[in-house]
Amino acid sequence: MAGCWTGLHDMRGFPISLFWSRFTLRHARKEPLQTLLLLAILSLGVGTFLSIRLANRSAVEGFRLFTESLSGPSDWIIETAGSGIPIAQLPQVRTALGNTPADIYPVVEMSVNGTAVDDGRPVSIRLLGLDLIKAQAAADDDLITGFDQLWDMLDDPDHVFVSARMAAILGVKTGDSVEWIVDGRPRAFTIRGILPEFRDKTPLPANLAVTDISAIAQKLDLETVDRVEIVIPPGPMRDGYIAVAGKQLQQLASRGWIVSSGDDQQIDGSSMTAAFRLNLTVLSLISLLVGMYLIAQTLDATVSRRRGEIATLRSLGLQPGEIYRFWLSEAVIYGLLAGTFGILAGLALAQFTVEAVTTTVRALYRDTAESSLTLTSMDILLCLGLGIGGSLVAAWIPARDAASTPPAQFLRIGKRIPPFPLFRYQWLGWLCLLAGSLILLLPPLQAGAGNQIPVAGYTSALLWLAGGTLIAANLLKQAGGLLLAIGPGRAEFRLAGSRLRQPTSRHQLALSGFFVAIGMTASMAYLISSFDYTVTSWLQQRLRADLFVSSIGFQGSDNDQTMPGPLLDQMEAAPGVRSMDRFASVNVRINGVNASLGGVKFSMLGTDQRLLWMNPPADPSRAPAYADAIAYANENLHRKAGINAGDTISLATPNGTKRLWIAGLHSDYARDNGLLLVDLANLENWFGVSDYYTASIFLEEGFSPAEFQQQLKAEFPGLAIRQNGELMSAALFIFDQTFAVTYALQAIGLIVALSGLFLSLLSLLRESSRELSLQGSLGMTPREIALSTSLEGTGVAAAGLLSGLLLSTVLGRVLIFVINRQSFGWTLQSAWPWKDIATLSIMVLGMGFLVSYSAGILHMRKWERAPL
Amino acid sequence: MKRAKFGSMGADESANPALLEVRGAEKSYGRQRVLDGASLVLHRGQRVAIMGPSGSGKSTLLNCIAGLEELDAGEIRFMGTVMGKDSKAAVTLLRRGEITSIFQFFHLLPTLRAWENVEFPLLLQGVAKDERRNRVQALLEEVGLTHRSDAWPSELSGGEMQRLAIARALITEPALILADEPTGSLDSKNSERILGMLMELTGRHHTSLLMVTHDAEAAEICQTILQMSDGRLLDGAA
Repeated sequence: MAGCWTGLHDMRGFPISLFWSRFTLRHARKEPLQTLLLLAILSLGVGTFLSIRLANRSAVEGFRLFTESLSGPSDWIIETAGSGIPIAQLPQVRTALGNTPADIYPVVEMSVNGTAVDDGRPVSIRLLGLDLIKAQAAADDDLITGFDQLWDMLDDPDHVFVSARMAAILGVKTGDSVEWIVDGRPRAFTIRGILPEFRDKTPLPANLAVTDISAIAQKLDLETVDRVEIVIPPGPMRDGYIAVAGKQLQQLASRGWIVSSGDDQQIDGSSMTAAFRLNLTVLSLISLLVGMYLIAQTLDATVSRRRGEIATLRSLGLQPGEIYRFWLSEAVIYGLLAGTFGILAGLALAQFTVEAVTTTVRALYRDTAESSLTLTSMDILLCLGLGIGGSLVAAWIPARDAASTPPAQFLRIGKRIPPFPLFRYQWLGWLCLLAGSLILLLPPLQAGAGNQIPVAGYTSALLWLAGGTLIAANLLKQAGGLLLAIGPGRAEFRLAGSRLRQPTSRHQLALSGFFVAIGMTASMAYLISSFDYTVTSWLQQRLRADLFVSSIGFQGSDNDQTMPGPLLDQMEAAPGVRSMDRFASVNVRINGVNASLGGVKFSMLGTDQRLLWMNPPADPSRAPAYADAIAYANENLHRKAGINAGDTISLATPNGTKRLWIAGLHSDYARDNGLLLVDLANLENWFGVSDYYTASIFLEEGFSPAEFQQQLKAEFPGLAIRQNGELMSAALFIFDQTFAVTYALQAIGLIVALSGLFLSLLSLLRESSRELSLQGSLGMTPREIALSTSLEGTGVAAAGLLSGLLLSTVLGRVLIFVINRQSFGWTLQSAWPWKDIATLSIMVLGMGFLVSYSAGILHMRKWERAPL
Repeated sequence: MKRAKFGSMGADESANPALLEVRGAEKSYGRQRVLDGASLVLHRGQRVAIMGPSGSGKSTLLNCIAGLEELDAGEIRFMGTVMGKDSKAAVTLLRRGEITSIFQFFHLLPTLRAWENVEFPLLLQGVAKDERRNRVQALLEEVGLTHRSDAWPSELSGGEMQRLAIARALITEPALILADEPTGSLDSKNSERILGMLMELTGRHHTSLLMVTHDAEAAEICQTILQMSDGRLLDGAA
């Protein structure tokens, strides 16, 4: 087999290029619609995969620090868990480094809000404050255009530079004055320039704005910086100095500062989102998987249609092995073309997926830059490999069928080619289902930092798909029987029913495509419905306040869109406010897992505020005497860090190590990382926290939330103030955004399956053209023949729908209770999506009917020419 | 025109109006003229054979009479209906009952059992179930296939398949059967049996037969044998 690819003249003197030009190409030109549709479907499959790959990489690359796009990668980064590094203490960094040559960059980084020029929506801007003079000196190119004027600009505390993409979104140009929301308050800035793109550096994030650190510190009265980045200059000793600097900086850890390498930052972001990205990648493979069934179906149809040609080639002396290789070589051609077009399709689709994935990552995880799309040579190789590999796998059985069928059988006119033997092995299907069930007993793969990859869950799903495909093929006979029972006296029903009772491989492969597409689509709908139901119940439990306050740009992740304490104090003191709860959090590591330590007022728990407990919490009075405080862990922390109710953990804080007793575990669907809740006062004391992400306001009796909301909005224009229902809608909107990519991938999978049905029926009709001519000669009208075709197609779609829905009840539960729980640490309540399934069923049957009818009508235009 | 041994309809012709009239039929495929003014008259109950070399236009003429192809010029009138573009629906209805066909390669519907193939035209006519069953059973008995009624077409021999095709052609009690080389794929023994059956059953059901054949012995069962050459019937007055 391997030898046949070494040249184009390897087939015992019969050049393969001649086979392609004289046979493959000519057949393809005879059927341009089918050929183009098949290539389009395969390209879409490859393209979908590529677009998700690019989007995932874009999101992960966004986790690199924003400064990297300007000053290059940092070697070491110093941060604190809570309130930042005091400017007054910055010299201690230089002291710790001793004589080691190193550039020190203090950095202020915050999310502020502008307004899009198009639709007036708030736009999250990443504002970076760094030492521009130093960064400019270190840069190879001009960091800021018009360097000579940089010194003058630094005197202006309002100056800011934005990326070209940000300028376009905001509709601003050099010299414009803008008003951005910073920490809940409107602030005036002046656009002093557009940041140039550097050819040899990471592309600038779309939402980047830069100012000088001293200017922003002066403008906002900052006493701390967010982090300090250390860059070791180039030189022969660089690697050694990096290691030495790392050791020297560790002495700062005793101050509660966290020292990590630049790579660690991206790895953290990467591993945090690993499960999310893997889920998307798996989902993006649906259309490719369905596309593989289409390749198999198309090549099978080709074998069937060209049986005379095969017999002639055999009679001319070609061996079965050569026929086999010919057919595989056709698959390679299809795969190569599909891979190439798939790359183009992927780049086009990525324009949508990058934004959708980035939005989801921001909502679920943390702020990330939306970086430019970069297509690597590995991407190209992977796409071509997927196209060719998928085609070869799919072509294997039809090619073997072509090679092994005796020529005499091919030459018998009117003889239907029997379906693949593989579909007769029902026992193999049941064995796959059994193996798929047993494999679920295996534990998940540990991916580090508490993250888990549900390998067993995915393998189980794959086995169920494979086994189900073999078993579902039998349903065609039942569908045929049903058609005969529905219309026993109607010729169209008789024909359609009888054809389904004796299905060809094309029927079975079309059904398989539907089975996979519907099974995965419906199981995702099941997961989403369960998630929706669970989150809605949770929100109803959690959202009890009259009004909710946050910074306008707050998206639900830790994107540091905070509100200063004094602002909230002012609000809390307003007449009519009965009580106010606030939420703040800092980043911590618990049992080696990155997590958030959050603070809420425990005094309000059980009265105004409620948590959704996984189990009833313990009485706080039972806390051991040595514990400094009690805490409640969310489910994610429980699963990833192994924290259980009754445990005591030690936590390093700027105010010393604190011992926390876990009094209970609660459900938390707002984030997919660990959260440990402590009393707000403790958080404020231990970490010096004075900024808050959200606040909940409870009003006195008789005060109207609507009127109070208007009053607050007028008083605090930089804050988002929502009523209970509005916040619920906003939360559900974020939820919908989170699944935007999923919906799109589901739709693509279904479109591919329907296109597959269209292709299958065209193939079947073409190879049955004599039969159709006969039906015409017996007095059937083209419309009746098309109706018979549409009944046949609807039968295939209905069998695929039924088997796919049955699969989804199992696959959905694997997604909900195994894959989702292991990936995200969320326990969901099962909720079957009746409405979505009804819509899906009507759509599949309706579209199945229409697509089949179209195929019938399209073919009928030619039926009179088919000779009898 | 050559008289066959069964002779002409003779004096009855005047009392028996024409079932089928073909006048000046012309048909071309591109530059190739296939029918060049062919004319033919066929009466009810009459059996006519058309013989001629390959490419003389025999099968095209049959397809045009069946309404599967349209003439470029000339006229085909069957039971008073002019076959043409404007009468497609009527012609389709005629094919459901009055004009049926038998082919060289049988062309049975492969996914229907033997009895279902015979029954199929009755489904198109909307005949009630009991009547369908009775008529199918009767015809299968006539063609000697009662014992094979449940077989799939692929399980039948060539002779059995053609007998089944004859049963299917007769089930609607048509006025005219068009037979295109009905013995072309059969051995001599089966050919003889099929021809005998065609003669007997068309006679019994008073059905006309228009047969295209290369086989002089097959043509012998017809009362009239016409020669076709270069798209013309040498004597179209059957």
